[in-house]
Amino acid sequence: MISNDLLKGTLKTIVLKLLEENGRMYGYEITKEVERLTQGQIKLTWGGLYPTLHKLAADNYITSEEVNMGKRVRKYYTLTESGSKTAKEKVQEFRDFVAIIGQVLNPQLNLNLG
Amino acid sequence: MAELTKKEIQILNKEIEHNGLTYTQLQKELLDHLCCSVEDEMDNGFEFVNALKKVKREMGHDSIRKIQEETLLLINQKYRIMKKFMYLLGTIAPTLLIFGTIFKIQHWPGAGILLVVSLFLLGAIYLPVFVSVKIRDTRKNGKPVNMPMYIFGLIAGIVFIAGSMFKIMHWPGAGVMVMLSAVVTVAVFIPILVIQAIKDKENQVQNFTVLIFVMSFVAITFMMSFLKVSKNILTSFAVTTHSNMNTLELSEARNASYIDMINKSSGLSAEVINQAQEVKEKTDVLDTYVQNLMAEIVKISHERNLPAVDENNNVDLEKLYYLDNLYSVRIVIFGEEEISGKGKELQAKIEEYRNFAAGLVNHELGSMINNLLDTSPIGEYNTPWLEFLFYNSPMISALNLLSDIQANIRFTEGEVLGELIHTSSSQPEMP
Repeated sequence: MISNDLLKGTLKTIVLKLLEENGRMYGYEITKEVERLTQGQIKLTWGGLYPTLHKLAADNYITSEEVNMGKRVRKYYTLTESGSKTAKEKVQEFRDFVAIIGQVLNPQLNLNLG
Repeated sequence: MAELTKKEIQILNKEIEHNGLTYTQLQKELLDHLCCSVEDEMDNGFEFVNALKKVKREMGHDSIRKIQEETLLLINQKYRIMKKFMYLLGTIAPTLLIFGTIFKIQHWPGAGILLVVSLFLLGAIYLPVFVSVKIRDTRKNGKPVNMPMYIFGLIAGIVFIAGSMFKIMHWPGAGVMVMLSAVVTVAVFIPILVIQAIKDKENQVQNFTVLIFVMSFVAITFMMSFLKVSKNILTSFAVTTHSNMNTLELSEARNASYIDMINKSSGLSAEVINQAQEVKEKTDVLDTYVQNLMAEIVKISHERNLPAVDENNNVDLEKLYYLDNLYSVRIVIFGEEEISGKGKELQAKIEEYRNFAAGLVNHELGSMINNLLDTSPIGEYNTPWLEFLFYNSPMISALNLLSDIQANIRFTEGEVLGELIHTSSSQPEMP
């Protein structure tokens, strides 16, 4: 399991990326998808997910629509135009970050020999 | 795949409400999430009750109320920054305004920039931020927002502050702005406030106070913009006008004795006598012209002022009312649509007289006369003489200036006549 502390900064990126791939998603679907992709390594709690979704909506990166499911209402999220732009930027930023952290954690041998 | 019954959904909904969730946007969503989780567990073979227990155990560490708090906090970050900014601005702008006022009263440099900056901060930034914060607060409390009240209040406030700024800086258009804001306030904003005060039972005391102050403020502003000039200043203008008239009388008496002297003198050439006569005639013509202008200004101002002018067009200041009347000066000096103003003619006549008088005497006296009857542009902005003296000037100020012109031309006449007597009587003794 990945700890919540590590997840916090990347939650926005994960949500944006998933919405970019899948188009329209609802909250529970997002947690399930993350679980599936990480073979259960990352379990999003709703305490982390929903504030993030609302913040992204407030910043106009995503929009939501409510769909009546018969007995209850389901809220679907989609990326806005500025959201899909931000999604690409965030993903790239995170890839760079992972690569750099990788350098810190696995220093190249020739550096040590220097 | 398991699907919850209506009753089961109701149980889950109670679960959420029981946890203190009030933000409805979140409520529906969390219910759906909870339903999906329970359905999934039921697919794994659990009964509804056990499935719910399991889900609750897994999610337990995130209380629903905490989710709500965190969500609202994230969404409202901008709003909280805005509110802080508002408090900061609300401290800075009035402070600058007070300093600007002190500087202005003391005539220290920098007053203008302080006043412009502070009024700009108040009108263009503080007021809109305040209104948007107020609207959000009202919405958050779940009360209806009286949008027209905020919009018209904002318009009236911004235009009023801009108008005041223009007025203080003597920029054109100030009067129109103040007038416009007064119209919006009286015709739209106050009626909306009254309705709001009646409807909103909860804040009745507050709304009533706001209403009272807005109305008093409008009344005072109106009064001040109509009074325009303080009574003391009007009185001091009347005093100097009166003293100009006395000087005029003395000069006239002295000049008459000069003319008498010239006519009775035997040693003066016919040319000098003719010149003296011409000086007297031209002076009389201009003096009468100015006198008639004064009489016209007084007569047009108000019918109550008709008795203040006698048959010779002399003005009796004791009988004069409405000293701060602006209308009659504007009409007589600058004209209006079909009536042409007499200001330009007055200026031309003064210039003609000045050149004539200065041409008769020696250079030194000539330049003194040129100074005394100068009509070139005046002031920091090189305002044309006529506009500088008479534009937007109250009646008593115009009368003061015109009587001053009269006194100056009579004084000039005296100087010219004296010079004529002096030079021509000293000439024959020379050889």
